[in-house]
Amino acid sequence: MFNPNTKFLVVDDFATMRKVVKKVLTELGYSDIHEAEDGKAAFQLIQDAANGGSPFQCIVSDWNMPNMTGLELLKACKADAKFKDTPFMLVTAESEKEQIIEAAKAGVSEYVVKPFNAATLKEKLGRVYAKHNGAKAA
Amino acid sequence: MSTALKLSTLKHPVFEKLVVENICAGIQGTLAQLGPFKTEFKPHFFAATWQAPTPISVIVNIKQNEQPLQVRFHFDPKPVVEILEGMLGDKVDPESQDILDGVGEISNMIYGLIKTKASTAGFQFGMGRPEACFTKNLPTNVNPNGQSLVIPFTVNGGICHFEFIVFN
Repeated sequence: MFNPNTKFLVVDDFATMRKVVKKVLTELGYSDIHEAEDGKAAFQLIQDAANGGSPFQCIVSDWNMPNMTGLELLKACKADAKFKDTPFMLVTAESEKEQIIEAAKAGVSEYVVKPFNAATLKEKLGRVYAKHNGAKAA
Repeated sequence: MSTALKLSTLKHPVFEKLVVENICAGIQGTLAQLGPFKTEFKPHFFAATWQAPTPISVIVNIKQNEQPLQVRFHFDPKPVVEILEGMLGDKVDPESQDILDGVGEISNMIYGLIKTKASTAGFQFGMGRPEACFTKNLPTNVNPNGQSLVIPFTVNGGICHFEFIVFN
């Protein structure tokens, strides 16, 4: 599982959902949790963090947001060599099969459909960690 | 005050029984996942002029095959506060901006499931971003070319409505 010092970025245009995700992450033992309210703000934070020598180690993002959607943010990260391997979860109300396929094609690490419970998010985080650390070991 | 329209005048496919059933399934399915919330539906009706009787509303502007539509949710604050306090573990002020943010997210989740359910029945509704407000700031749907499908429902006894507006 991600170590307790993992630096997270939570992205959602609704403050309520940012609070919910942050609450679950905190209960799982994480404390270095940052927030952004849309993909554009998030991408700026991602770039700034990397340039400052303290990159984000896991991004948890909504899909449907103004200015830059979560899918666009995912694609922007994948297009940048500095961020393409950063674990990226979509946590979204969008649950149509075509959308899940689109996100998978864009390289999402895991897809969580809202509403979700703490156990589901924990399980998905575990899978993301295993996926990325298995890839690193290989 | 509502003006009931005859069923024979309503030809838009979104008013079909199957769509109504999928809307109800989306509402009930989402609320069931959010906690021990009992959802009960009343008979739906159609109207050209209708004013929501509850104080909180959410608008989602969408398209279906290029047809502009608008979804509105109208909530009794009591079940909204219960849902949000369950999600957040904190008290929520029913007259604050926090409740508008929260009800926006609740509507986002409900609409997401409605979209998925409807797509399995052949209706592709577009993505839309919910915008919440106090209902007193919401214009009544007074549009001679618009028609509303209204589905009343209760959540743990609190009266809510789902409104689907088709603009001709």
